[in-house]
Order: sequence, then C-alpha cells, then structure tokens
Amino acid sequence: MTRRGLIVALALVVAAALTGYAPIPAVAQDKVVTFGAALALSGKFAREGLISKQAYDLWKDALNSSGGLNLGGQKYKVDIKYYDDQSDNTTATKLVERLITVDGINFILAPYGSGAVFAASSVTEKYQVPMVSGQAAADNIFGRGYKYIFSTMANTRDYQRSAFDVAAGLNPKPKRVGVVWVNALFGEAVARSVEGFIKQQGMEMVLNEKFDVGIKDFSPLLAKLGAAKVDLLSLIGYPAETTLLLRQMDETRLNIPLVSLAYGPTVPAWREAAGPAGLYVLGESQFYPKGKLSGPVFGSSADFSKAFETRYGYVPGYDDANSAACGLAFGLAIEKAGSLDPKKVRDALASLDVATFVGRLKFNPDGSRATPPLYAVQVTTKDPRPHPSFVSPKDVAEGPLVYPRPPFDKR
Amino acid sequence: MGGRRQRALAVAAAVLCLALALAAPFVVGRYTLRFLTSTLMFAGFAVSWNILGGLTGYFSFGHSVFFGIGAYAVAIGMVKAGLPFWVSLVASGLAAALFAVAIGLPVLRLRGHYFALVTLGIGEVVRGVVSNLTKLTGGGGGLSLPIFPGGVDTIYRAFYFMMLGTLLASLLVVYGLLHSRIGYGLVAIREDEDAAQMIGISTTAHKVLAFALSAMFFGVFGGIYAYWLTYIEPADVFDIKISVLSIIMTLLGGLGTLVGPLLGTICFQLLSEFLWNRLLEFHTAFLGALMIVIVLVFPRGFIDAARGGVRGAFRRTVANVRQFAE
Amino acid sequence: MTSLQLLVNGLLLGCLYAVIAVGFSLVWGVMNIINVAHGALLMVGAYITFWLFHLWGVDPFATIPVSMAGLFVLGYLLQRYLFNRLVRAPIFMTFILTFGVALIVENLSLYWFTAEYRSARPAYSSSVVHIGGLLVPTVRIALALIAVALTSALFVFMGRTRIGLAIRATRMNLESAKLMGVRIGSIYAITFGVGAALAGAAGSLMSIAYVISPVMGPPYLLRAFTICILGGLGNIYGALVGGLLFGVVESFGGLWLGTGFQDVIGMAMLVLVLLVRPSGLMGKRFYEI
Repeated sequence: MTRRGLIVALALVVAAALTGYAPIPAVAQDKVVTFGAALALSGKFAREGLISKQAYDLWKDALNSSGGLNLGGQKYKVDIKYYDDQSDNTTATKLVERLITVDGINFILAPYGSGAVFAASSVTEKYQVPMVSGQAAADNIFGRGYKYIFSTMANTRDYQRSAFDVAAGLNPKPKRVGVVWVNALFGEAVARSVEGFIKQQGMEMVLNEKFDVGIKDFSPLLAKLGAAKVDLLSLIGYPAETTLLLRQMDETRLNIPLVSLAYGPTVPAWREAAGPAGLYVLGESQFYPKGKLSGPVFGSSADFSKAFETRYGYVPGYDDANSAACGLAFGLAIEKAGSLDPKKVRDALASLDVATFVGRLKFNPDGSRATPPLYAVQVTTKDPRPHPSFVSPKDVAEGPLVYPRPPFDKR
Repeated sequence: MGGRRQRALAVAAAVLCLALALAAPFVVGRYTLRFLTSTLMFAGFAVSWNILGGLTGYFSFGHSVFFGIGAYAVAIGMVKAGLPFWVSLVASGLAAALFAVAIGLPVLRLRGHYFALVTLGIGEVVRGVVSNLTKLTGGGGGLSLPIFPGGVDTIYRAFYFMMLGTLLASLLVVYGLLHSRIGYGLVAIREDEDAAQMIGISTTAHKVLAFALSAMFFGVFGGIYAYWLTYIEPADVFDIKISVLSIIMTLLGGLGTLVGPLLGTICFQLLSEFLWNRLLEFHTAFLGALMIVIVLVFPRGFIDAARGGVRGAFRRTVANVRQFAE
Repeated sequence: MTSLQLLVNGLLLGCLYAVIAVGFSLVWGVMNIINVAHGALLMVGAYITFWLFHLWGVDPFATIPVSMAGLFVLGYLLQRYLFNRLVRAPIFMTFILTFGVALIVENLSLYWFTAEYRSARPAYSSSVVHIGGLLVPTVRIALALIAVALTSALFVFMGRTRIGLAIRATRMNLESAKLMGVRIGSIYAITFGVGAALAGAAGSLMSIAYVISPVMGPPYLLRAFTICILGGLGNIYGALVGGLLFGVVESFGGLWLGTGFQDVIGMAMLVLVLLVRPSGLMGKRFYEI
C-alpha cells in the first residue's frame, strides 16, 4: 500500500473536494430572481440570525403569492439562497463572496450583526453588488463612503434617544446615569450616542463599564452600580448577557428607578429568558405592531403583524419588521429600476422614497435609514405573560409609564 | 528507490507545485482563489508553527497572539499612524518577533503541557488587553482598514501572492534549519533537552530563535490578513482556533517534517470545504469524526504513514486496543 | 461592606468552578489525558437538567443525579471504546481525539437543542438569605454546598473504596497494578466516567445559576485548565482551593480593573502561576492526596 496507496487516496480526496465546488446546476424553470443571505444559523447569534431568516422567508412567500416581482411586464418569482456563517465575521465575508462569485447572485440580504455587516460590506462594495441590512445598527458601518450598503434599521445614532426623551419628562428626573455596554461594535457605538444624550439632557454619567460577550458573573459590576447610586441605567448588549445581568441585579436586590435597554424587550425570547427580572424595563422599538403605517406587499403594520404571528407564533418586533423590510426595499428598487442590473438597482435603492409598513422607507446618502420611527416600550404584565407596552410617543402610548421601577419584591 | 532518484523526484514535484501555484490566480475563479489564498495562509501557519512545535518539541497553544499582534500592527500603522502598508507589514513581523523574544525568556523555561498552557494564557491576556485599549485599538469594536487599491482581480491576485510569498519564505527557513547546525540543535533539544545542554548547545538561544522565527511569520500573516479583510476585531484575530488548527494540520501531515504541515493543511482545507458544501448542518460533526479516524489510523501523520505504511499504523492501534480495551 | 459581599460572592462562584475543575483534574492526573471535550460534556449535563426541568417540571436540583448518571455512562463508553486506544500515545494525539469528540457533541447539541440561550430557573431562584448585612442568594448557597459535597464524595471514593484504590494504584505503577489483577481498561473507563459525571454535575449547576447554550463549553474548559494548574495537577482538594481562589480573584479583579478585564484576570493568574510555581499552589503528586 504505502506510497502509491497514499497517493491514490489523496487523489480521491482532492477529486471529491473539487466536486464540492461545482454549484449544483439549477433546474430551468419560470423566471426567478435569487437573493443571497449568509446568516448566523449556528453559534452565539443563532437566535438572532433566525429572526432574519424568518422575516426574509415571510417576505418571499408574501411576494410570490401575490404574483412576484413586476419587471418589464413579466412576473418574476423570488427565491433566497442561505448559508450559515456560524456567527463568525470572516465566514460571513467569505460566504457573501461565494454568493456573488460562485452562485452568481447580485442582491445580498445582510448577515446578522454590526460586526459581520461591517466586514461583509467591503466585499459587496468591491464587487459593486447592493446589500440591504435589517439588523446591524453601528454607525461606523456607514461612515466609510461606501455606496452599496443600505440599512432599514435605525442606526446607533438614534438608539436610546427615545428612552432619554421619556426620562426628560419624568418627575423626579433621573440625574445619575450608568452606561453599561457590551465590548463589541454595537455596544461601543450606542454607548457613544448615549454619552451625547446625557450631555444634552444635562445629566451626569457616573459610571461607564464595558463587559465581554460571554461574561457570566456581574457581581463586581453590580456592586459598582449600587455604590454609584445610579438612577438611570442604560444597558447595551446582546440578550444572553443583558438577561443575566437583570436577573443577578434582582438577586442582589439592587434597585434602579429607570432601566433602559438598547435591545431586548421587544424580543419574546428575551422576555422569556429574563422572566420577572425583565419587568418594567424600558426598551425601544422602530415598529408598532398595531400601527396603521401602510404600504405595498404587506399592507399595514397591523396586517404584517397578523401574518407574522400566524406563521411564527409571536408578535413581531422591530428586528423582524426591519428584516422583512430589507426584502421589500430590494423588491421595490428592482421594480423601480425596471432591471436586474446591480448598479441600476443600487441607484434605485438610493433614491427610494416609499410609504411602507415600517414607515417612510428612504435612505440617507451614506446608506443608513432616514428618519425611522422611534418608539419607547416598557415591559408590563398586561397579558398573562410579560409583553412590551408602547409608552411613547403619545400617539401610540398604550398606558402610563410605570416609574420608578418597582423593586423585586413588589413586582 | 535510490536516494538520488528520490531527491530528483522530490525536486521535480516541488517545481511542478510551484509552477501550478504561480499560475493559479490567472486560471481559477475568484471564489476558488480566495479559498486558495486562505489555504496558503493556513499552510503558512502550520509550517511556521512546526519550527517550534515539530523541530524543537515545544507545543505552543497560543500562537494566535502573534497573528493578532501582526494584524493590529498593520491596522494601527495604517489607520492611526498613516504609514504605508509595506512599512506596517515589516513592523508587524518585527513586533511579533520582539514580543516572542520578550516572553520567550521566562516562558521557555517551562516544558510540555505547562508550556502549552502558559502560551494559551498569554494569548488570552493579550486579547483582553487589546479589547480594552479602545482609544488605540478600537476595543471590541475593532478597526477598519482602507481597501487595497485596484480592481477586484488585482486585489485578489495581490493577496494571493503575498500569502504565497510568505509561505515560500517560511518553507525556505524550515529547509534551511533542517540542513543547518541550528536545526540540529533544535532537534537535539526536542529529543533530549538536558543532554543537549550538557553537550554545550545553548538551548535558550536556540529556543528563543525558533520561537521568534515562528512568531514573525505569524505576525506577517496577520498583517496581510488585516489588509485583506479590511476589518479586524480582537475576537477574530486572537481566536484560539488559529492556534488549534495550526497544530492539528501539522499533526495530520507529520510533525517535524518540511512538507508534512503543507500536506496536512491542504487535505484538511479541502475536506473542510467539501464538508461545508455538502453537509451544512453537520459539517462540524463530520470534521470531528474525520479527525478521530485520522488520528487512529495515521497517529503520526500522513508522512510517517507513507514511510511505514498504513498497515504499520494499524498494527500499533490494534496493539493499543489489545492492551487497554478489556 | 462591598468587599465582604464580593468575597462571599467570589467564594460561592469559586465552588462552582471547583466542580468543573475536579473532574478534569482527575482524568488528567490518572490517565494523562487532556480532555478537551470536558466543556462539551459539561454542556450535555446542563441540557439534561434543562430539559427535565422544562419538559416535565422536575426540580433542577433533583436532576443532578440523573445528569451525573447519564454522563457517567457516556464517559465510560467513550473511554472504553475510543480513548483507551490512545492511552500510550503522545499527549497531543489525545488532544485531537478529544477535540474531535467535542466537535461532534457540540454540533449534535446545536442541531437538536438549537442555539437559544436557556436556563433552568425554578420559581424560588431569586430568594435571598440575609446574613448580617450581606445578601446571599439561596440557590447559590445550595450550589456551593453541592459542589463541596461532590468534592468530598470524590475524596472518599478515591481514598476508601476498592475502585478508588485501584485507580490510584494504576496511576502509581501501571505494571504492578496489572500484576495485582487490576483490569486496567475498565479502571480507565470508570475513571473517565467519574470525570464525566462530575462535568455533568457542574453543567447542571450552571444550568441553574446561569444561562446555557450548546457553545458554552470552551470558556469553562479554559477555567478548568487554569484551576488545575493553580491547584496542582491531579490534586482534588487543590482543585477546590484553586477554584475558590479563582472565583475570588475574578470578583475583585472585576471591581478593581473594570468589568472588561474580568474574564481575562483568570488567564493572567494562570500565566503568573505557571511562571512562578508551575506545580501549583498545593503542588503535591496526585496519589499523595
């Protein structure tokens, strides 16, 4: 066997591997526009990646069932090709490239998270293929002069803005702010915005701490929060850590009158993981599920919510809505451009200005979302299970704000 | 086969591979080119790691720290100091090598798994520090680099050749070591460090040199990688996976040999890619199963198996089974 | 007051860490196997507790014996039919082998359990006990007590039972043990099973105290490494002391250096100990218990 056998074995392996390259030939069928998405379907962001996938699929089916895209008098169905980026930025980048070069796809639905979108956007920029993102907020993504990245989601410049607006109108007004943020692109960006709001409202930042993804024990941090007598906590992080912090806060019976989260309260899985520790915290949203904002494909916000809830069993939050809006934006841009040429579609996206179920869909010149609707919510127990009650702005307020936050024993 | 003929065959094979490697960027598709570039980088990891691991017998689990240092050297150099890429790249290799020398003196006193663990620990500490120096390194948010000038094909070919060049350099260094007195010193240290010391080999100097050389290449690869990806963050460039994969690929191919790590990497990368394409949800599990099978069938790597035959390896496995599985 | 509270928190945390390390230390000390799959086994234990709690409402504490039993069987089988083949091989071969097993276990768990972060938090999980101005969560005390109990049980097992003595004999002198009629293969399998059972128990405790996911293993594995080194390889009480120390250092480190450095402090401690006193704080050989 020895050398010859080894060489034969290696040759077989190489042959097998190379066959892995041939893209599986597509079956010829009626006209289809294929979109590509590299998502976190496993790894630390798998739950969040799934949100995107669900939303993209809902859009695809809604569009197809109403006939599909209208292009030059022809109807085109829509399909989406998915890859799992395993919550890794390098993998996401590589897969986006694969979608463009090997699978020949010209329209990319973005991966989950600011880090992945940041990394992958350099690929789409290089290849001049448009990418629309619904779940990446960091403003750094848009400051580079790139022309091919668009976001339906409010960017971090606006995060926590509604919470501070609410706080400004409270009596007694909070003065001592603690900013606790996850040491990642998203956290760092929002923390920067929050520092601006603190100054704007004439409050004082008495604590500024960052924590790593995956941290398990917050007791030193909670000790500091207590010692600093924080009366407004701005907590910026991913669900795994923020729910843990809130629960440990209860264990230490630390009481902060106003707790505001940059992400979480609108996500059912977050609320379930947080349990009673998540009650009466403030969150923010860019989507009001019972709203009347209306537009093509989905109808109104309320219609979208109903369709979403029927299919997936929970009321959609803004990340679900914004992700679905990515597909919507692409569809509208393609129809507006009247072409499948990526450059033309990109231009159509840049000049898009349409009323939709997520409000007015228009992008700034740097690709970020222009004037997204911003709401503040508070987690209350009106239902048998905790759910987000809209508290601001006034036209959607479902009830008064509960302030100060009741201590653990009284919830 | 006679020694001369064997050597001639080996040289011919090497020349052929080199020719193919040089031609590849002008022949294959872009995605394949990206895959090849990445494979060259991993091959470089394995070959460089082998200098310390296979030749000298010191298994480092923290080599990703040098990769990260190199990546940040280029990122900081280009973004914060406005230096051109080539200058920053030189800095990245130097920085990694210097760091290796600095920690090498205390750290190389340890052996075996203690050495492995301390390198792991240092890697994690550096990652933590870099994550927290937000003003300099961008902290957890990372750093964004400018895009390499030129069209897509130019960019891809440039990085391919950069990786190839660095890999060839590392191969030359290993070749040089294997045929030099320094290399004999390293091997002596691997076989019996105390004896080596007794016969007058300056073990510390040798070890630090091996450490610094392997670190330098990791640093340079890191620098190239940073410019290639144009966005780096601590979790990516200090990832333990880099160290772990280097070790596995070297072990698969053959520790202490010139070509072993190269072979191990190529096979591993091909298998990995193949599995990914075909078995999306289970590819990690299959990779794990593959590693298990390979370790049981080729316990000393492919090269060794090629020398002694698969049958020999099997015999050893069976002997183990008989002894312990009753 | 804060310092005292942090100290208590750190010690309670340290007990949890100790359980993670003890099983790892046992396997490494007796068989010279660095079980990279330890974190994955821990994760399986965590999920056993979670699913029993979530699907059938079993009190999480009551699931600990189940998770231990299940992991013992898994560990025994793994050692008996897989790892025993490489006992005499270079240590880094077993590294790859256990790494491969870890990959498989994690992938299957990810597929079956999905990546959502979960925990088994019973209704009483937020109750606290007031001890002289300090607030201590009741659950944490219970977990710490269990951790100490398990460590002590292991100590008794190793020192007083026939199997425990056989394990120690095997470590001390393989050939003599064989001559005395010890069936090495079985002993190794039992040892690994015990290590796995401890990992499972640790996982169950984690499921109660924290949030779990299929990829939770690696950070705990890293801590197990560190604590083993701190306490001295193969030394059971060393693992306990090392774990306690680790917990306290993490707590105070977080306070003094900022939360951002909290997870790195342990690594820094590892490096320091290795450079200064590699045999660990309680550096004694394994069988000297």
